[in-house]
Amino acid sequence: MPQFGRLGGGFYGYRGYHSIFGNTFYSRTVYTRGYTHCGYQNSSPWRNTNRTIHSTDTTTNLGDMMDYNQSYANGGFGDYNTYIFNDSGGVGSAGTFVSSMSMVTETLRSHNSAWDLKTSRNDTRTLMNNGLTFIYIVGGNTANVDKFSIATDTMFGAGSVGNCPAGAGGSTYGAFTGFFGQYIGTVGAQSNSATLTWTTETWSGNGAWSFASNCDGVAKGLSSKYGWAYNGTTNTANTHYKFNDTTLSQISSFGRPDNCGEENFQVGQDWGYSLGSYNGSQTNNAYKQYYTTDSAVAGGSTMQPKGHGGMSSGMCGTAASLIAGANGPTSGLGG
Amino acid sequence: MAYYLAKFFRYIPQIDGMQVVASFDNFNVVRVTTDLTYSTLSATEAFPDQGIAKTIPLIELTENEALSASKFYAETRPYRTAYSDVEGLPPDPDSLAAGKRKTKVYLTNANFASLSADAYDATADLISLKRKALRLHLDQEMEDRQLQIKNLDNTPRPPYDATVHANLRTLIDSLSTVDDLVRVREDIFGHEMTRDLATRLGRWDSTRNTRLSAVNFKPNY
Repeated sequence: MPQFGRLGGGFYGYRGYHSIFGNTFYSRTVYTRGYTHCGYQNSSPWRNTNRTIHSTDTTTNLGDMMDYNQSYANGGFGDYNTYIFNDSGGVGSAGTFVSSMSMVTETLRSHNSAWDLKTSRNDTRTLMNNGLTFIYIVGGNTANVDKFSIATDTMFGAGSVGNCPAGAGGSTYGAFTGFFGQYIGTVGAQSNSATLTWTTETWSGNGAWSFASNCDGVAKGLSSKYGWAYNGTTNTANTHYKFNDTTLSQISSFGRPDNCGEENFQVGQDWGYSLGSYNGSQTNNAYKQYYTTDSAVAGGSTMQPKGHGGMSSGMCGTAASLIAGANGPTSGLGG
Repeated sequence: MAYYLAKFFRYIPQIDGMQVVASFDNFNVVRVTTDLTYSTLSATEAFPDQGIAKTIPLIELTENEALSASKFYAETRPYRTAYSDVEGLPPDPDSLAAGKRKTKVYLTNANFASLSADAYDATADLISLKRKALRLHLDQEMEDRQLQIKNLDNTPRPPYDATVHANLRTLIDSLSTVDDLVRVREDIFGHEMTRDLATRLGRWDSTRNTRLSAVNFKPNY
């Protein structure tokens, strides 16, 4: 059935599943599945990967995948690969080592030192620009910012992007929360916040997102391609808040199926997921967050990540079955 | 008021009088307040509209198993760590000195016995809970084999074998320590053990800070 709604470019039009109606932010790729890496429970870090098929809400354990067991590390993704910054082995451990998985073959890629961070970090917040060409790695107990080129699979030299005005991150492993949209990316924790504009690669001043004063940094943000994003406040809070991802104004707030934080948030096309989180314990609790309504549905075992008793503070990447690219549909990943 | 260990499938249904109070593995611990709630829950189809004769599997728990022992489910250390302010407990002095608010809660509750009458040695309840969880893992896998329900990756399950089923039930009932239950949970049921136990069993590479070999996550039976 045809659906009409707001597209990333700010106009209204057909949003059918196979539509590549222009190259808007919304329809450049069509997200259909995602991957959740690592995480931890009770001081035990994991290194397995779960695949979630978005059409069926089905999560399958692909087994031990990444180079090292790791938690409290954020990651990023392009059209073909996921990355975890850092994967040094531990719970919130500092390092520069980066692991990467191919979302095409669903296998670990042989480590390439060109991926590695230029600055040693604990927990990180990654911001991905609108064309999935660059990943900016922020926080983790340093104000330095690392910039990764997805196209060339290479980390830029130190200092390629200015230091983050929000500082080094929150008190837990230097973690920021944050989200990214069509025009800017946002980080924040404990009254410090800043935004990065994609087109100019310039930071705002500190305090750009006033709501950050409510955020401990480990209650993570869920981005979307709808022009808004979601964030909680602490790792045992129920309420989720929806923000315009450009103006950062609060749009609404609503309850969730769980009082949680440290979520493994997975971005999707028309809905996203929390796939494991902390609610007093690290759990495999999962829920599906619809982007078009302020509603979330609790998932059962089919949706939940698998392989261990629970997992929070891992990272997620999302893949597309259709990549429209800059000049229309040029390639597909299958699946 | 009763408590059950439940395995839900695609979604967790909203049923009046039912509340999820804890979670581990891919199970949820639910509190059920009325007989009507129980009858509704126990009659709920596992796979609605798919023509599969299966309802939500349930195992009854005691209140202590549901609310106290469940917090230790994933531990093999003699304690768990909790946010002191969230659980209303005094913070560990060394944690407080480091600017943190964590506190260790021992399975025996030895450190809080003098503070609260609710603090009790939860060891027996934890072992009982772990046995019930393994039984639910086993019985569900065996029921799915009998019903020929495919794995989530659409691969077929092995055929049902009543002898294997009975032998594994006997094995589970024979396990009497936390370590043995967690070891069998990984070796036979495919749920990764803790780093603490992997280290003590010589399965952890402390140099690389990772497992010596990849974990086998599939049921090994």
